[in-house]
Amino acid sequence: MLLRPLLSLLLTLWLAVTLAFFALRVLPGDAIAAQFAAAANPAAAALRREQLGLDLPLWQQYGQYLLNLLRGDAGVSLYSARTVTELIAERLPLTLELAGLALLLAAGAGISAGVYTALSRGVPARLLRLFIDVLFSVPVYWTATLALFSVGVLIGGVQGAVGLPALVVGLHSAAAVARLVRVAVLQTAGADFVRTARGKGLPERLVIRRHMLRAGLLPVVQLLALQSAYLMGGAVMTESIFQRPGMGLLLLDAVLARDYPVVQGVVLLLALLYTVLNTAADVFTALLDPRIRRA
Amino acid sequence: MRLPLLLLIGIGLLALAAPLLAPYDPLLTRPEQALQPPSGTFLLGTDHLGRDVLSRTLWGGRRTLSLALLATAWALLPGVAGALLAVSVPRLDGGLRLLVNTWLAFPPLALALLLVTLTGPGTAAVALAVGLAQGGAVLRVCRAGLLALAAEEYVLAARAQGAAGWHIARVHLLRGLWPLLRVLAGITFSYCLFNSAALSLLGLAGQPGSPDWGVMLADGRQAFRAAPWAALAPGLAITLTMLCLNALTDHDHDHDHNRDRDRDRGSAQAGA
Repeated sequence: MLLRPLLSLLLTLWLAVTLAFFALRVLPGDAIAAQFAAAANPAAAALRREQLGLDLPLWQQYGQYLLNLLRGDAGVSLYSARTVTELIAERLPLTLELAGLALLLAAGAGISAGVYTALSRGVPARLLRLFIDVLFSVPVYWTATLALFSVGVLIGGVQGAVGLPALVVGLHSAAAVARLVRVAVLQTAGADFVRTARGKGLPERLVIRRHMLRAGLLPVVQLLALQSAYLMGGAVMTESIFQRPGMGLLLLDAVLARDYPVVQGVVLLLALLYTVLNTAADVFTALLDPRIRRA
Repeated sequence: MRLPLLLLIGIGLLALAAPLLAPYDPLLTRPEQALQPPSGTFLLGTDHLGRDVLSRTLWGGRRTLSLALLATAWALLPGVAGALLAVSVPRLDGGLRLLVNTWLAFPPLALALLLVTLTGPGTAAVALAVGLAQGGAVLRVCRAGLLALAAEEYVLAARAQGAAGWHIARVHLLRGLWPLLRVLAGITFSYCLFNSAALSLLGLAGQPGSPDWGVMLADGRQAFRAAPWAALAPGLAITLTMLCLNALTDHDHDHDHNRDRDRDRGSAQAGA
């Protein structure tokens, strides 16, 4: 059961690496030429090309790149002469800290709000639903701006703290989780196994806890995997707004400077994360769900 | 649920009529009038270079919305064409599925950034990058929809009557895909608006001074404490547009869902 997803995971990753490699080697204008164009120094450019191995035939560069990647070496930045791995390792903790906290908030607040809005028909639940729907639609960069402003007025600067960004980003993810949980729980309300549970006289409390929630929360595993990938990918925006020098800012600076090896390294890491998390969520869901497990 | 649609049409019209409605040149700077609060002369105030915020917001809608529309076209075109190809030419299906899986292995914003690195910053580049980053998802959803359609009896009947493949694709499949495509286009437009405004905000979509909601938000954020109006107008404009779009697609979705349920119920009764 684990072999097929694992094989397709490896195939997808290999294709992603290959595409990223050839896209950045074949399509653009020559990065090295651009770097030395101002200085008009062909000798230095040739030397730099040789250092980076760009004078070798393309297939040889590709083979070398794959081998290096397997050893955790994603090349050298075109501008700072440091290795991509080093740069990422330096910036990653800040991004992980923010994404981790936001994910905790998304799971906790999102699941409780989703279950609550599915089961309660009162006015507070309706207001909460409206709030969730609005939050879901508002762009995160706008909420972040407003949050920074209000906190700035109330307490003064919050430069570098993780609490506010985690709250803003986490609440946005929580809105997405809550919407899904609400629909999923409501869908189980009409399912046969819930009717059976009620029919055999199980108290409503237990019907909800044992049957509706357990089945309704299954899709959340997948959504949380997706959300954590988005949190990492969206770091570009949050980190630039909150001025946190994490992996997102590294990526943005590299895009602006057209530092290909760094862009390639960060994007591939994001793709790896995204694919692995999704596959893990698939497998995990299959393990949890007796219907899929037996199929 | 007429309100979101009316508001959306209103926003579109305002953006279209920007040249007629804008009281000032959106690019004209007046350093002596910088960061003026809203007044009779400048209805929404001025920004840090003394440019009229109202005029810039109107012109910005034109730029931002057309950028998102262009991106949506870049997402739908390869998505729908690829899906039609995958369903009409089964030999290609396996390869295309692999391609889509790889496509979807990249988070959209990261993929868009990778593509912008290839082309260099600029409006057309951002539209292309944001659109293509969304194309894989479009292809996958359309392929599933088309496969379901291809198994319908009227398509099988057309095939049995010897209709040509392209005739079936054009007349039956594309037409049948329309309801799905409408909702999908709305959702894709919403993603594209979000992502293209994000890339403008990050300074990747062309000139720094150009009137664009994302760029205005980025500029306005710098002076937000002293002059919140400069960021408030573009921020609220993006937010309102996204709210209307999501309300509309949600509604469309609910509507289709209800109709399916009604149809299922109807057929169950007919069968009984």
